[in-house]
Amino acid sequence: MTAQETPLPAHLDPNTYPRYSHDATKNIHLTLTYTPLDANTYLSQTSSPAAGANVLFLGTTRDTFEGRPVSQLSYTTYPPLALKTLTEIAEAAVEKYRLLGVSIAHRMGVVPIGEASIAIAISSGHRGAGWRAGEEVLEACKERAEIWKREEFLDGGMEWRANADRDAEGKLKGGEANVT
Amino acid sequence: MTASTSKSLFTIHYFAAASTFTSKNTELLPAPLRLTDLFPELERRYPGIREKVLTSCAVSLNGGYVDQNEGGDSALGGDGGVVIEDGDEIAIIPPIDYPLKSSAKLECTNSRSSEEDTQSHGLLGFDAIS
Repeated sequence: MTAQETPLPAHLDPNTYPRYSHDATKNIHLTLTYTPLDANTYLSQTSSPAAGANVLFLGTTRDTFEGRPVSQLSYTTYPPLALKTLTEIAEAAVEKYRLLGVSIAHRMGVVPIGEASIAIAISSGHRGAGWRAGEEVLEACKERAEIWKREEFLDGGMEWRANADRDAEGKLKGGEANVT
Repeated sequence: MTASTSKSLFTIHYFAAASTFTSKNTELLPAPLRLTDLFPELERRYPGIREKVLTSCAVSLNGGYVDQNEGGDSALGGDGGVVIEDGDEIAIIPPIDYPLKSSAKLECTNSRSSEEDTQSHGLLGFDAIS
């Protein structure tokens, strides 16, 4: 991808990352980064002596899409909007589930197959709230966060895909109930 | 502020399908431009983009969403009268929000209403046995 008219905009320049947003009061940590995600970092951000449950989710890149071999996946974002949206998602989860901490980290640029593109760490008093909040935060991120995934296939094709094209089971959303 | 140039320009960023269609990540376009004239202007520069890409896109102005529909009435909370000025930053945002199964939906705090308090029932139920 080339932009001849202007230099690389800041939001596409890895040197302007990582970008953080942190709310100490609600113990919310948000990270957009071009470097590998470190699960322990996010777990320690949310850990608390009051927590009985610490839930970690890692979304990793898969080597096929609908049976089509994927050669490379990459992500781009628009931080001014994405950080706002992630803040709203995290705040809603903290309030709804009385969470002790939430950390959401998303990797940008090329993410090699098998590596994590998103990490979510949640601390809560009890496990039920933590499990549920973890799933809801993930689904909300895929549905709303201004982050786009580009899939390049071994056969040479390329497609932009909204994260939310598919539900938690990999089924197409918003269309036919039964797609093969 | 760049006082050295007399040309008024705004920045426009393209994402995903919009960047593929224009073959650009970003460019500078002449300002001022009425928000309602943005899609027609892009269609003039990139014939076909409106139907193929823009109809499903949202628009952000300086980091916040705006309603670029011509029917937008600022008195009613729309952005019909908004003008894109020199130095402004526009972003074309392809769709990311698709219908989600309601059982796993987080309402955001800024659009929260009192309509549904049922969302906390599961948690309360769990706490009762924990």
